[in-house]
Amino acid sequence: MTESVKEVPETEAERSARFERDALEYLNQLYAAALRMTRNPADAEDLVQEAYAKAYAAFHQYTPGTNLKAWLYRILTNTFINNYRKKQRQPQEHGSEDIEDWQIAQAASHTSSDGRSAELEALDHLPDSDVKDALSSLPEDFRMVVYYADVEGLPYKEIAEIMETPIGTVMSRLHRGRRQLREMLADYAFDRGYVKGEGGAKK
Amino acid sequence: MSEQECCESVRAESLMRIYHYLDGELTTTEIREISVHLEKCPACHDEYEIEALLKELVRRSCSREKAPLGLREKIQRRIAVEQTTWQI
Repeated sequence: MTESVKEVPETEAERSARFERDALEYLNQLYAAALRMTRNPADAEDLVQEAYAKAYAAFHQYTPGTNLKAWLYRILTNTFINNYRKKQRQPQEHGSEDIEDWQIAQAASHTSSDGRSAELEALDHLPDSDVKDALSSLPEDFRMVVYYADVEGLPYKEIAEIMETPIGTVMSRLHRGRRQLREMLADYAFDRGYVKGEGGAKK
Repeated sequence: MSEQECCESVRAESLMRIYHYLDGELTTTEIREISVHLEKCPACHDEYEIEALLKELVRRSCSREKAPLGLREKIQRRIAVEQTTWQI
């Protein structure tokens, strides 16, 4: 039989001090993720504030010692999906979710073997702004998964928890997002003249 | 399944394994297998290099963002407001 441990209840002041100390440590990371989600600084700032306010209100539900960053990311992602996704009406959404796997494979085999090192070289020269632009035009579910996997380096399982989706969905979004990203970046490299001849992914 | 579809599914499969490798999602045995394969298969090796670079590009381009000045204070003020609201 486990005897329930009577903890001394934390005062409001102590709780907010703990929150500021532990949770606000992730401010830059949350803002960077919010910027990728909303694609503009003003909305990103609002989103982060909103997410922190929610996190603070729910902080008693957070189990100390567990992954605080993932917990905060889940709140951020949720807040974005519920409050911002519907509001944002900028036309974007390059491609859709229903790309078949064979198309993915085809995209992969698009470049001839000789062109591979050229593609590598060209991609490496792309400015950060091109990479961010390409990310911005991915469908947002793809974008978030790519962001969490590549920028945050989170394991699939954690991304699945943050996005509240099955791990298989995480993998397929990641794969599709990366395929689209690679095609777009190949196009950018071609447009910038980094790739000569038939480079780029345009048909 | 036509011959072409078959080749494509093999490619998709190997690409998937490359992703899992890059993302640290493979077991030690699988890592050993894929490393051996990458050494002797130029096509997969090229794919691996490109995908590794893409992952690095995404990381590099997004990791320099800093929260704007004043955002921390705004959040702290907001928390302070929540706190007093509850205490009333």
